[in-house]
Amino acid sequence: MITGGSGLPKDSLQLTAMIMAYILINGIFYLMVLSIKTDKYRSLLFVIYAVCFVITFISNLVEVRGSMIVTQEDMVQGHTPFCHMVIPMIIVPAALTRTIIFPGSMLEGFAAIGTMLVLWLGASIVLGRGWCSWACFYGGLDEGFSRIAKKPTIKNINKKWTYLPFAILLVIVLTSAATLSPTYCAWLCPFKAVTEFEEISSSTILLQTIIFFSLFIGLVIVLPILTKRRIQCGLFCPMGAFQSLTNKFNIFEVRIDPEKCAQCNLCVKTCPTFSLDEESVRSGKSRITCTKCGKCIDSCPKQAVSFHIKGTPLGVNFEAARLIFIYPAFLFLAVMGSGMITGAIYRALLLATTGSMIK
Amino acid sequence: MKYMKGFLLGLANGTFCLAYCAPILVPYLLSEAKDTKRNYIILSYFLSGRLLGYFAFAVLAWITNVTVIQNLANRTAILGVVYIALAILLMVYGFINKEQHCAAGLFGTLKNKMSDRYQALLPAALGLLTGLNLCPPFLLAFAAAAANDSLWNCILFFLAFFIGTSVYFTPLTAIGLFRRHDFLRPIGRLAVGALGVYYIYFGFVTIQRSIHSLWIPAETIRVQAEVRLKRLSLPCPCS
Amino acid sequence: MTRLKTIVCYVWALMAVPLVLATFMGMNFWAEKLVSDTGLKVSPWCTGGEIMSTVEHEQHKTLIYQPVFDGLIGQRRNGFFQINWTPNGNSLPRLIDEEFDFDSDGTRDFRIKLNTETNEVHLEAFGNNVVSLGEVLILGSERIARVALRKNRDDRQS
Repeated sequence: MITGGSGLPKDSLQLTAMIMAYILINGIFYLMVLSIKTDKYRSLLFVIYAVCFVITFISNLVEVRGSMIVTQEDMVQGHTPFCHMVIPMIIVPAALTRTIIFPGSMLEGFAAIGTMLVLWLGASIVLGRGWCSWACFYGGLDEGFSRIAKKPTIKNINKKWTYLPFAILLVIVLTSAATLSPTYCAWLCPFKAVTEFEEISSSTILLQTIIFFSLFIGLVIVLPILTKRRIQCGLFCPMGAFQSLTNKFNIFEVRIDPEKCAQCNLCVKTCPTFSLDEESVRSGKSRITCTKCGKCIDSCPKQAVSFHIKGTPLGVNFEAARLIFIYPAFLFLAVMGSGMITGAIYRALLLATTGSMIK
Repeated sequence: MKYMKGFLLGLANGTFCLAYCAPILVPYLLSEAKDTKRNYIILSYFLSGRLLGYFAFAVLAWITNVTVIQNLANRTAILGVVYIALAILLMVYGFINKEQHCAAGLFGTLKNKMSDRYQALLPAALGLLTGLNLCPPFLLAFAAAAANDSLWNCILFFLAFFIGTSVYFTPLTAIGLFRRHDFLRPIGRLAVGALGVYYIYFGFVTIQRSIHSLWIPAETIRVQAEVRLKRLSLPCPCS
Repeated sequence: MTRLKTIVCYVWALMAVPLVLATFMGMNFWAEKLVSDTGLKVSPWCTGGEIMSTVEHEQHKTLIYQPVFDGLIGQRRNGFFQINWTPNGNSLPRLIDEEFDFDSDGTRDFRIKLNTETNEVHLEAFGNNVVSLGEVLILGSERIARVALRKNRDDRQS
C-alpha cells in the first residue's frame, strides 16, 4: 500500500525514508490499539502527515516549476493538482454542463481529478466526516496549532458561528455555478499559503493573495492557538460542512451513554470542531459535524463517550466498535500519509547529505 | 444569463426569507392545512400572492430605470454604490442584527381585520405581504432588475428571482420539516452576511469599470490593443 | 428483527476495510470508469475548448479553437476564442500576421500580428464582436492567445 503497487525503491535514501515511515506508522497504530487512546496517537500522525505534505508538496513544486507559483500556462495545460476542497463547487456545473470547472487533468499526472474524486467517494462512504480527522492533508495544520497552548485564552465562542461553514458552502456553490469558476479557491482558501498560488499580476490577484494569507494566519495559526480548537475546520471550511452531510449515511458515529454520563460537559469543552454541545450531552448524540477524531472519547472521565455502529445496541461492545472503526480509518490515514511522510523524510535526508532539499 | 442571475440571486437570498419569514409563515400554513390537497391549495394561494407582489416590483423597477436611471450621467458608478450600500446592509443583517424583519409579521393584524368572507384569501394576502417586503436581498434584486431597460426583462428577472426564492419554501411547507430544523435559520442569516461580502466586491468592480470607461474610450479598447507579453488572470466568465 | 439489524450493521461496518483497500488498489480503474461513464471533461473555460481547425504554414501550424461561450445553462454573452501557434521545427517565425473568422461566416473578424522575439502582440478588430486581447501565453516555443468576444443578442440562441 505504501509503494502504491510498485517495488521497493532502489535509491538508498528513498528506501531508508520508506522504512522509517513504515516503522513510524505501524508503531503509532500499535500504540493506538494497545493504549485505548485514539485521539492522542491519531493526532500525532495527523499532524506529522500535514507537515510532511507541506514539505513534500512545496519541494516537488520547486523541483518541477522552480517556485510555488502556478502560472496561466500551467492551468491551460491542466497541470494544477486537484484538491478535495473544490468538490462542492464542481457538482452543480458538472451536473448541468458535464464539465469540471478546475484547470486540472481528468486522469493524468499527480492528483488527477478522476483519482481524487474516487478517493473522496471511498472516504465518504467509509468515514463520513471522519475525512476531516483521518484523511484531509490540511486538517493536521489546524490541529497542530490548536495543541500548542496549554490553556485556551478565548474560551467562549458564540454557537451561531458553527453554522458559518454551511453558509459559506451555500454561497460558494452558488457563486461557483454562476461564474463557472471555483470561487473558494480563488478568494478564500487559506491553504494556498502552503501549496501553490497565482503569480501577482493584477490588483485582483493581489487582493486575493492578501485575503488568503490573512485567513491562513488568522484561522490556521492564531485562533487555534488562542482557542485550542480547530477554527478553520470547525468554523470556516465549506468542505467540512459538505462532508458533514455524509455523516448522515455513514455507519459510524460518536455516542454518549446517558447512564454513565456525569454531565460534566468536559467533552463539550474539548471537542475541536464544536460538534458537541449541551443538547448533544442530553440527547447522547454528537452533532452532524462530528469528525470522529476521538478526543471526546479520550477525555471523558466516565468513559461514557464511545464510537458506535449505527443500528447496534448502545453501551455494548464499544471497544469492538472502536476497533472496527479505527482499522479502516487508520488504514486510510496511513496510505494517504505514507507517501508524504516518506517524501518528507527523504527530503530531510537529502538536506542532511547534500545540503539541499531539492535534487 | 441575466435571468439566470435573477434565479441565482433568488436562490442565494432565499435563505434570508427562510431565516426571517418562514418562522411566522410555516406554522400558520401548517396549522391551516387539513390534508395534502388543502396543503397544496394554501401553498399555491401563498405563492400566487407572492408572485403578484414581485411583479408589482418588477413594474416599479422598470419605471425607476426609465425615469431615474436612464437620465443619470454615470449610472454604472451609481449602481455600484447602491450595491455596496445594500451589501453593507446585508452584512449587518447577516452578522449583527438579531431581530426579525419580515412583513409577514403583520399577518396577525391582517387576519383579525379580514372578514370571514375573505379568510380563504389569507394565504394569498400573506404571500403578497412577503412579496412586497423591502428586505435587503429584495432591494438587491430590485437594484439588479432596475438595470434592465425593458419592462419584459424586468418581469422575467423577478420571475426568475421568485423561482429561486420559492425553492426553499415549496418543499419545506409541503412536508412540514421546518419545525424540526431550526438550524436553517442561522445558516440563512450567515449566508446573507457572506453574500454581502461578495456584493461589496461586485460593487467596487462595477465602480471601477465605470471609471475605466471614463478615461479610456470604449472604441480604443475594443478596436486596437498593443500588448506586451503579460500574464493576467483567466477571463472571468461573469464579466 | 433487532438481532438481524445488528448483524447487518456489523457486517456493513466490517466492510469498511475492504472498501478502503478497493478504493486505493482500484483507484485508477474506478477513475477511468467514472470519467468514461459520465463523460466528464475539464471546462473549456480552462482548456480553451475543442480544436476547430488547423492551418498549415511553412514554418508553423495555427490551431484554431471553437469559440467558448459556455454558460451554466445555455450560452453566455461574453466568451473568448483561443489560437495556438505551434512550430514545425524548433521555433516559430519571427513575425506572424494572420486574420481570423471566429464565427465562420466568411468575413474576417480580427487580425493578430505577433512578434515572437519581443512578444509584442497587436490586435486589430474588424467587427463589433471582438472586445479585447486576453492573455498571450508562452508554452516552450509555442504561443497561445485568447481574444475576448461578445455575442450579439441574436447570436446567443445559436
